[in-house]
Amino acid sequence: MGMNAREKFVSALKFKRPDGVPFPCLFYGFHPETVRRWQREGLPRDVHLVKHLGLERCDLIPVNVGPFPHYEPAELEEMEEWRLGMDRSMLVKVKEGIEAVEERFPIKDSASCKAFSKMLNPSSPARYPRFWDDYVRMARDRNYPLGVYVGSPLSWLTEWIGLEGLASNLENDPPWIEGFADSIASFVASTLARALRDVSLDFALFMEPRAYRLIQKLNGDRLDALAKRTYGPIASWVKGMGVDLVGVQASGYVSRLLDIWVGAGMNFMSLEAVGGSDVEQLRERFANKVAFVGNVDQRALAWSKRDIAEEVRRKMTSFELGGFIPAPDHTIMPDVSWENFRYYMDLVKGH
Amino acid sequence: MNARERFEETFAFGHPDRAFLMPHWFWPSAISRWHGEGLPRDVHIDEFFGFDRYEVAPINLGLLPSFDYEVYFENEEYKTYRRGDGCVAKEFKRRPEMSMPQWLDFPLKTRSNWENDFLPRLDPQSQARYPLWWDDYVRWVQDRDYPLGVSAGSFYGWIRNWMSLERLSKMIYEDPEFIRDIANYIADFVIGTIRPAVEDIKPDFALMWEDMAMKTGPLISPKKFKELMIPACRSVNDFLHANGVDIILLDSDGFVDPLIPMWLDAGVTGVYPMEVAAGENVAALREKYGRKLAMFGGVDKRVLAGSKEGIERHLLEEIKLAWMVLQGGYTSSVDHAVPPDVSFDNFMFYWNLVRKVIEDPSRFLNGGVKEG
Repeated sequence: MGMNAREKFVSALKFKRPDGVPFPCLFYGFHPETVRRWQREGLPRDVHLVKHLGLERCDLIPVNVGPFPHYEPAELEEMEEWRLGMDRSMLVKVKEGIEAVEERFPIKDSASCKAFSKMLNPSSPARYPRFWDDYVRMARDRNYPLGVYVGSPLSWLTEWIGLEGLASNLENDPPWIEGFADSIASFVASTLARALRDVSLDFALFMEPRAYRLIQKLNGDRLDALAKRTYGPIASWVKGMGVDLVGVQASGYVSRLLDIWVGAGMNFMSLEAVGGSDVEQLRERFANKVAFVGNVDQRALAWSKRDIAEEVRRKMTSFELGGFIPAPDHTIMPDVSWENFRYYMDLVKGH
Repeated sequence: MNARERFEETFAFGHPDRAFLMPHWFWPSAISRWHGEGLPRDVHIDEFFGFDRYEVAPINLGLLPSFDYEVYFENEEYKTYRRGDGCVAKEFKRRPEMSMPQWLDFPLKTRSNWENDFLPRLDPQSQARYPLWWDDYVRWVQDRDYPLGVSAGSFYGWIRNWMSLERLSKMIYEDPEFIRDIANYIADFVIGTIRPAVEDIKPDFALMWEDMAMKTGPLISPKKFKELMIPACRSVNDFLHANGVDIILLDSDGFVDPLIPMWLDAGVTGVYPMEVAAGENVAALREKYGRKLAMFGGVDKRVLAGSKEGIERHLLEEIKLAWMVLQGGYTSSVDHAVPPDVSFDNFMFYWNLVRKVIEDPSRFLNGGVKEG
């Protein structure tokens, strides 16, 4: 009998040999417009896309790690051109719903930080599903990889304080920013302590969609210090709780952060090839210390079949070397045709 | 007793350790109001109130694929759009839940568009009718300690929603065979869709939905309902009973008394939510039907917005809660979603009194205890 999805996923990331390519659905994202395009091009409309494509189950446990309870989203003011609205964690001025052009952040100083921190109460009952014990029972004998989201420290700081605010406060009043960073780490660990005691998990995952923005804004030492105060304690606590695979999923050009992440104990990464993080180069940089997920340049899937075949050939060579699970490096955008995506999947499956 | 055993004992007129505490349904604006009146914002509502666990298997019996969402017109105040069920509605953009939409068009008009637009969307074999990881779900619910149900369709309500009340009312007389065909197809579709679930998870109950009565009575002549739709309802119920699903509860607002004998005859075992504003009274129905008719609901949502004395009088005297609970086949719940004119304090008073009565109903018999 062949390996199940869980065994394939874990063995690939631990540089062992899975008996086939893992297809963890957690690392595949599809833009809604892409799905509509594909339905026009032949994708049946009454199927689960994930199942139809032959992807495999890969979940994160449903524990709410983040500000909770949220502010009530509210429309504050609406004019012809501008809409002023408050989303779940910040005040945003939106131009006709297209993009935020001015943002006001909920944390400005230590006083507002204290108020905001009320939403970081690890003991809020609804952080866990109501019937957690039942969930634990279900997760016990699973045959698919199950992970835990362990926060987005740098992206959170960017979202809650803003780039400018973070940079100026780090210059003028570093102790409270550093103290807040420490409290983020202890909040994540306290929130998840029960989950990690109850469920034997396969991986832990940081998500950093906006960390790349900090690289330009903060000087290297400040960035290092902030990162060490957050990732380090969380990653070592998670490993101490028996979760060997600790990774990060990040967008953009994050080369400057990779050493910090590896230094904090992370051993797999899901990075965008388009952000200058091609797996072939990274493999040389980190030898066999770091595994990778994703990294198939999703832009290539919109080009010719020859381009797709070339991208698959390169990435499958990496797969053969171990420590790599190929998957698109970004949400599949609507410029990828159904035919192209099926061609890509067929090539990978046929490998 | 666990919640599963308690549910079965309650609705099968057995001997529960106490009546099942049915989860209630709240308007989102009521919950927002209550957050300002003391309800914690970071709790599970059902857990906070201590409702028993009760779930329905996530099987999609709707139109699949749905019609495309399409906005035809919108301004600051409202939008006109096509919904997933194909209906065109005009709806306020702000707080749409506070008013009914204006229905402008309905997708089912003729036999040909039934065949072209509906039959392809009512295929029991469509993969996405079942959850993505069904085998895991089955494994999960196998040894459950809570009641798990399955949806079992609608033989008037769906057709009315697709066709409009006016068109259906005329079609019943102008082309009754068409209506009968639709109802019969729905029965085959429901059975075909839920059969794997019934076999895999052995549901504890089934739910039907009709909402087919107004304040003064049914929206269809009972005679026509019996003739055109009851056979379809019966065939689904026969399938359920043959497979061990013996608690079949039907949801319809309005004054449903004239329909109850037909539903019972067709295999339905209980009705909810017994709308008081339409003249329903659970105690009177119990007198009339005895143990043939299980119920839940029957608590007047309007009373909950009034005085505590009124709430107490309603529960203890008007619906005879203690007597109903001792009779079995009944548990308390509000006769629709709890609206935002009910304060948190009033709801807590209502719910605490319900719990006390359910814990020890005999203490509250014959007006023995007053809480107010």
